[in-house]
Amino acid sequence: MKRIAQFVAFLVFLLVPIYSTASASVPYQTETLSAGGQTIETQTAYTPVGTLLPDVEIMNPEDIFSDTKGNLYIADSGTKKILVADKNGKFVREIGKGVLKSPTGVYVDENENIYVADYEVEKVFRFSQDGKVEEVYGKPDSPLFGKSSSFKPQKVAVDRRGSIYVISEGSTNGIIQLSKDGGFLGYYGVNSTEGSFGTFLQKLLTSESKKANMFMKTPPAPDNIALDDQGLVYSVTEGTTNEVIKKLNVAGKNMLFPDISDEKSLQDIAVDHDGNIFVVSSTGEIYEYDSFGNLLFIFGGKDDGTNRLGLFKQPTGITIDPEGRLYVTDKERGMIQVFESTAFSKQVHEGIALFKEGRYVESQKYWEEVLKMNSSFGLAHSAMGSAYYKQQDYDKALEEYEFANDVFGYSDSFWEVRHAWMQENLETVLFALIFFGILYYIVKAIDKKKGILNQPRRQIGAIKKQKLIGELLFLFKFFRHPIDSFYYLKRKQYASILSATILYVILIVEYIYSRFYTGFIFKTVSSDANLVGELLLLLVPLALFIVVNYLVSTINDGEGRFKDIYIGTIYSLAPFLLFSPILTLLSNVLTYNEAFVYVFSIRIIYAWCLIILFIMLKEIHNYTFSDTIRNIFVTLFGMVIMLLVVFIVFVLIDQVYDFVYSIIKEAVLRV
Amino acid sequence: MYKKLSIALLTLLVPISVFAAQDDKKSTEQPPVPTENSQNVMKYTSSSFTKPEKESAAPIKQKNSFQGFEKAAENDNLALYVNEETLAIKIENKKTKYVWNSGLDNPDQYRLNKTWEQMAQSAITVDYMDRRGKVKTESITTNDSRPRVKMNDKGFTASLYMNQSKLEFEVNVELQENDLVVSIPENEIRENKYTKLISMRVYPFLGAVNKSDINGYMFIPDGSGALIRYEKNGTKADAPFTGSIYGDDEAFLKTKVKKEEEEKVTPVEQIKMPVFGTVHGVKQNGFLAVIEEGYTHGDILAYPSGVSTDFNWISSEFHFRKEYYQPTSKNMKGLNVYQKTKNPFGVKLRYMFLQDDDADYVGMAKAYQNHLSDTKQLEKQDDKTGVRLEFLGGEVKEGLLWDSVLPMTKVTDIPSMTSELKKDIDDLFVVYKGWSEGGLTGTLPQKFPFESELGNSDDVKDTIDSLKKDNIPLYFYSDYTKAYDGASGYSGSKDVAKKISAETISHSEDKKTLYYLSPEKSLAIAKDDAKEFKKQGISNVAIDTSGYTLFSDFSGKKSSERNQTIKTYQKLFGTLNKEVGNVALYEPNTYLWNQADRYLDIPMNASNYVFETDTVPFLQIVLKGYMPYYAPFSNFQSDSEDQMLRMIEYGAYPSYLLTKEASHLLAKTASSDVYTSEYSIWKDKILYQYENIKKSLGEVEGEEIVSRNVPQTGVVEVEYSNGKVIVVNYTNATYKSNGIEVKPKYFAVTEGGESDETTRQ
Repeated sequence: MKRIAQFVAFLVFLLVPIYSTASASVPYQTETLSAGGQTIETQTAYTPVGTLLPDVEIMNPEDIFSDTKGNLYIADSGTKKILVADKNGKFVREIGKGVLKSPTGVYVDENENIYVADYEVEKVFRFSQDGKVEEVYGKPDSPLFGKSSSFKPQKVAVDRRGSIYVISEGSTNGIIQLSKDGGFLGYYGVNSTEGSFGTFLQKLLTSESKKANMFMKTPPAPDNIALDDQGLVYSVTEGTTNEVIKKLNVAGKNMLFPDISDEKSLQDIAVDHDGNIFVVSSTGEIYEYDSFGNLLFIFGGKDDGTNRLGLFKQPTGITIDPEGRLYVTDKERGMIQVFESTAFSKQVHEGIALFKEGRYVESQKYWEEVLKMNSSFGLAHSAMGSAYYKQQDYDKALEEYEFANDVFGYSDSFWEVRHAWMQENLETVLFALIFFGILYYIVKAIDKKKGILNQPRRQIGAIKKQKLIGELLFLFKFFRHPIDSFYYLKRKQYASILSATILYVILIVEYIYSRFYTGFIFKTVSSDANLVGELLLLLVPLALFIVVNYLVSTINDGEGRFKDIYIGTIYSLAPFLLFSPILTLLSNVLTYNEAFVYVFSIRIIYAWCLIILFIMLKEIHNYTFSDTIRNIFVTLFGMVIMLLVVFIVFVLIDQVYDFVYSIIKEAVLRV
Repeated sequence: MYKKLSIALLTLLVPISVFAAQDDKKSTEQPPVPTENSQNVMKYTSSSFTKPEKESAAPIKQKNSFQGFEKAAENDNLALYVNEETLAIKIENKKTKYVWNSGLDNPDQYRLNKTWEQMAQSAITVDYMDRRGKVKTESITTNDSRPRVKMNDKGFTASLYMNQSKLEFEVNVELQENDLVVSIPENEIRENKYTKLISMRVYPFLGAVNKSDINGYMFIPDGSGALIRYEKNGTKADAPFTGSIYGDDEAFLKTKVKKEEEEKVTPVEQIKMPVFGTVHGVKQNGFLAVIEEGYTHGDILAYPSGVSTDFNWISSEFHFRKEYYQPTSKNMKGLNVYQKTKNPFGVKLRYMFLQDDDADYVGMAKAYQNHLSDTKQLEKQDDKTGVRLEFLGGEVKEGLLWDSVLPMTKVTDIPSMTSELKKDIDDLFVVYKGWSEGGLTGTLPQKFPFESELGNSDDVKDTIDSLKKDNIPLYFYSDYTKAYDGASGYSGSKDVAKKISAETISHSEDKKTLYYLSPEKSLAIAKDDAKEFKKQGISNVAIDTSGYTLFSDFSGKKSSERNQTIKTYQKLFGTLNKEVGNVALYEPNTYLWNQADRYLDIPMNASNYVFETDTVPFLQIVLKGYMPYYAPFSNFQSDSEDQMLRMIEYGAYPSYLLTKEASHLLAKTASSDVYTSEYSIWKDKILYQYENIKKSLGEVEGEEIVSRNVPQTGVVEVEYSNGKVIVVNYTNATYKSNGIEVKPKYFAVTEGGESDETTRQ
C-alpha cells in the first residue's frame, strides 16, 4: 500500500517541473526517495567521466559485461564481434569475428569462458579466452522444451555450477535453463500475468465456456538477466508494471516487492558485490536499488539532441566493474559511457553495506553524514530509526520512523514508548479510575436518598424537550429500533431538515477529523492531501446518492419524498457519527499488534451503517425486501450514469471552447 | 490481560536487544569517512578537467601560395591578402610568419562536397527564402557573384550582389594593429522584393583544420570555457555545437504544453560571452574572435571533425529572421513560420591574432580582458577573499485552508550567526532572500513590505546596522524579470512580455505560473523600488534572473527587440547603482559586467558535450583581478574536497545557502530542492573551506591570472600577476616538482619557483 502511494506521489511529481538551484557538472538531476516517499533532488551520485574505447570502432553495442577482474566484454551487433578491454579501458582483442552474426548478449564465467548469445544464428557460443569456439548450444531437442517453441537467444548468463540461463525472444515460459552440455533443464522464473481490475471484471462477467475461447493472456517474457556474487538470478521485464525487476531465489520465486518500479522499458540489470541493483531503462534513466529493493538513486536521462555525456539515445546494457565504475552501452550512438561514483554516493553505499547486515549502530555514522548532506533522505531516516531502536532510544527512533514514513518501525517503537508510559502511569490511572468509580456510586447512593440530582436532571429534561435538541437526540434511537425510528421519522416528523443539516455538518467535521487525525500507523490519507479534495471524496458520492435515489425511487413507486431521503440518509449514518471520533482517538494509541481492534471496529461501523441505510430505503419507500435490493442497484447504476453525463458535457464544452478559440486565433493570424 | 502479556513479552525481549546493542557499540570506532582508493583517477582525464599539453611542439609547417590573392593592406603586425573573386582572405602574422586562411588552398585534397566547398571558399554564405517560401543556401562562389572590391589603406570594402538570392551587402575588412575587423553594416543590407534573408555566416572556415593535421584546439565559451582538441576520430558526436549567444531568445521558443520527463535533464550552460577562438599549435598561433555587433541574434557554431565534414571549424552565424512555432489552437497545434520583418542589426567581428606564449586559451582570455577593459566594459572592483552566505528567509507553505509563510531564517537571526563566523572569517557578505511579504516564491514583482513573520522594518534596520558594525554588507535578493501569476504590482495584460507568436512568455515553476515582465515595466518598477530601498536603509541588492536573461518582447507598442532590452536593463541597473548602491548579479552576461560589483554563481563547469575534450576557466581568467566571483552553493556538491580544490584552482570564492531552521521543513514547498541548509550543520564546513581558500586565494587578492599549466593529469599550476603560483593536486599521490611538494588532494602556494608550502592540518 505504501509503495503504491509512493508511486502515485512519484507520478504526480513528474508532472511538476523542477527548477534547480544546484548547478552541477552533470547534465541530469540525481534523485532519491524522500522520507515521504516522493522523489527529491539530491547530490550527484554518479558522474559521467567519458567513454570506453573511444578509438575503437563500435557500431551498435548491445550488451556489456565486466568479469571479476574488471575486464570488459562488449557485444557489438554492428561489427558482429565481441570486443575485450582490460580494466584500464585498453583494447585487448576481439572475439568471434566471422562466427557471430548478431551478438546481443555476452557473459563470462569464473573460468573466463566467454558465452555469447547470437540472435541471428540462434545459438549460444562458448569461446575460450583466445577466441576459439569451444561449444555451441543450439535449440534444445528435449520434448519438454517443445518443438514449436522458438530459440532466439538474446542474453545469456552462467552460474557457478555451469548452468546456462538463456533469455530467448518471446519466451513467455521464462528463462531457459540449460545444463553444461546443453541439455534442457527447464524454465526458470516465469512471469505472472497482471491481475488488473479490467481482467478481473472480464473474468467475472464471461461464462466458463466463453472464457475457454477467449484469447489467453500470456505472461510477458523476461528481457534481461544478471547474476550476483551469491549466484542469485536477477531479471528485468519490459512492457509491464508488475514485477519488472526480479531477484529470484533457488525456487524461482521473486524476493523483491512486485511493484518495485513502474518503469515499463527496463533494458538491462547489473548487481554489484554489495548486492545493490542497477537497472537502465530505454528512457536513459538509471535506477539504483539496494539489495532489498529500496530505491536509492535515479540519474541519467534521454539525450535532448545536445550530445552530452550522461545522456542516452538508446541504452541497451549496463554493468558495474569491481571498482564500482558503471558502464552503459548506447546502441544508437555507438558508444559506451563510463560513470564514477561520487563521495556522496560512497557514503550512502558504506551505510547500506552495514545496514544490510543488520549492523545498524555501526552504520549510524554514515547515515548521519548522509543526512547532513540531504536532510530528507528517506532511507537514511529509516536506518537512523533502526539504529536508535536498537540503542533503546525509542523516542528518537519514533521521530525518525515517523519522518521516514516507516509504519512498522514506528509501530514497534511506539509500542515501547507506550509500554514505558504505562509502566510509569498505570498506577495513577488505575487509582483515578477507582476513585471516580467510588465517587459515582457514592453520588448515586446519596441521590437515591436525598435526590440531590433532581435539579440538574430537570434542567437536562427541559433541554431535551426543546424541539431541535430532541430531533438531534433522536439519532440515538436508531441503534436499538431502526425500523420504528424510520416510521417515526417519516410519519411523525421526529426529525427536521434543520436537524439533518446540522448532522451533515457534524458528519463533515468528523470525517475530516478522522481523515487527518487518525494515528500515524493507520493513516490512509497522504501527507499532501488537501481539504477540498477530501471533502469532495465525501460529498460527491453522498449528494449523488441522495439525488439519484430520489429520482430512481419516484419512477419505481417509492413513497419517500426528497426530504425523507435527505433526512433518512444522515440518520442512517448514526453509527459513524457516534463512533468515528472515538475510533480516531483510539487509533492514536494503538500499534500494529492491536491493529485488528481498529480494523474490525471500522468494518463493523461501516456494515452497521449500510444495514441501517438498507432499512431506511425499505421503510421510507415502503418497499419489499427484493424491491429494496433492486432499488439499490438501480441507484448505483444511476450514479455511474450521472457521473458519465457530467463528464461528457464537460468534455463537449471544452471542445467547443477550443474550436472557437482556434477559429479566432487562426483568423487573427492569417487574415 | 493483553497488557500483562505484552509486558511479559517485553521483559523477555529487553535483555536480548541490550546485548545486541552492546555488540554493535564495540565495533563502531571507525571514522565515517569512506576510504578513498585509486578508483577515481579516470575522472581527471575526463573532459571536466584540463589535459596536459603534448610535449612535442614542433612549429607547424605551411606551404603557402598566394595565387589569386592580392595584398590589400599591411601594418606592423599583420598583412592582409584578398581574393577578389571569392573575397577569401589570407592574413599573415608577421611575427611568426604564420598565414591564416579563410578558405582552402587545394580543396580537391579533402573529402568535401560541392556545397561545403563553396561555403569554405566564400567569405559569406547566406540562407534565404525564395519567392515560393523555400529555404535555400548560396555562397559567393555558388553562382559566381562577382563582388566589386575597393582597396583602402587599412583593408578593403566590397560591394556584393548575390546572383541567385538577389541580396546585396557591403563587406568591410580592415586591419587594426593586431586585429582584423570584418563588418557588414546594417543599412547596406538590401533585400529583393521576393527573397528574404534568413541567416548569414561570415568567413566560416577561417582557421579550419582538417582532421588532426595539426596540434591545437577550438575554444568555445561553454560554461566556464571548453576546448575541442583536434583529435583522431575523437568524437562520437552526431551534431555540432550550436549555442545562442546570451541564451535562446524566449520570444521565439515554443511554449511547452506537457511537462515531459526532459525536465530532469538540466539545460546546457548558457553562452555569456560573444567570443570563440582557435589555436594552431599550442603556444604558436591562435586567434580570438569577438562578436562586437550582431551578438543579439548570433549563434556560435563549432563543427568538430567527423560532424558533416572532416574539418574542425568554428564560426558564428547570424539570424536575420528566426523560425518560430505559431500555435493556432489551444492544444498547441500550429505551424512553423519565419519572422516577417528582418531583425535590425549589422555584423561586426574582431579577430585578435595571438602568437607564441599568448597562443592558448589563457592568452585569449587575457586579450578579451584587455579588450573589455579598453572599451570600459569591465572595471576593477574591490577583490577580497570572502565567503557568500545566502540566507533563506521565508517560503510559502501550502496549508489545508490557506497558505502560510514558513519562517526559515528571521532577519534578527542573522547577526548571531554572522558574528560567530566573523571571528574566523575576515570577509563575509550576506544575501538575504525570501524577505518579501509572502515569502520567496510567488510574490514578485511586488517586493515591499517585509514579511511580518521574519521581522518588521525596525528589525531590518537593526540587522543592517549590526552587520555594518562587523563590516558585513547585507544584500537584499530580488529579481526584475519574473512576475508570478496572481501577484500584485503589475497588470497581467499590459506589463507582461509577449512572444512573437503573441503568447505570453511564461514558465511554470512548482505549480505556479510566472511571466517575464516587459523590460520597460521592469525599469519603472526598479525606479519605484529604488526609493523604497533607500527609505529602508538598504544599500546593497543582489539581482537574480535579470542578469542572465535576454529576451525580445513583442507586445505591440512596448515592443523591445533584444538590443533594446539590453539598453533598458543597463538603464535599470544604472538606476539601482546610482540610487541604491552596490548591485551583485547572478551569472550576468557581458553587457552588465561594468554594473555589478560581484559575480555570483559563476559557472565552474562546461556542459559535458561529447566532443569537448577539456574544461578551462576562461571566464574566470577574464574576471580575476577585476571582479570577485563566487561559486554556486557548496551545499549541493557531491565531492566537496574536489570542488574546493576547483574553487582554489579557478580563483572562485565559496557560497553557502543557509537557514536557521532544519531544511526538511522545506520538503513540501517550492524550495524543496534546498535539501541541506541548516546553519548548525554547515558551520564547521564553512570555516574549514574558508581556511583553505584564505591560505591559497588570500595570497593573490586583486591579482590577475597570467598563466595556467597542467604538468600532469590532475595537477594544475596557476600563476598570478604578483608572481605567486598556486599548485593544485587533485590526485591521490603526492606531486613533486622543482622542489615543490603538494600533498594528495591538496594545494600549495609558491613564489615564482621557490616553495612556500602549505600543508594539510
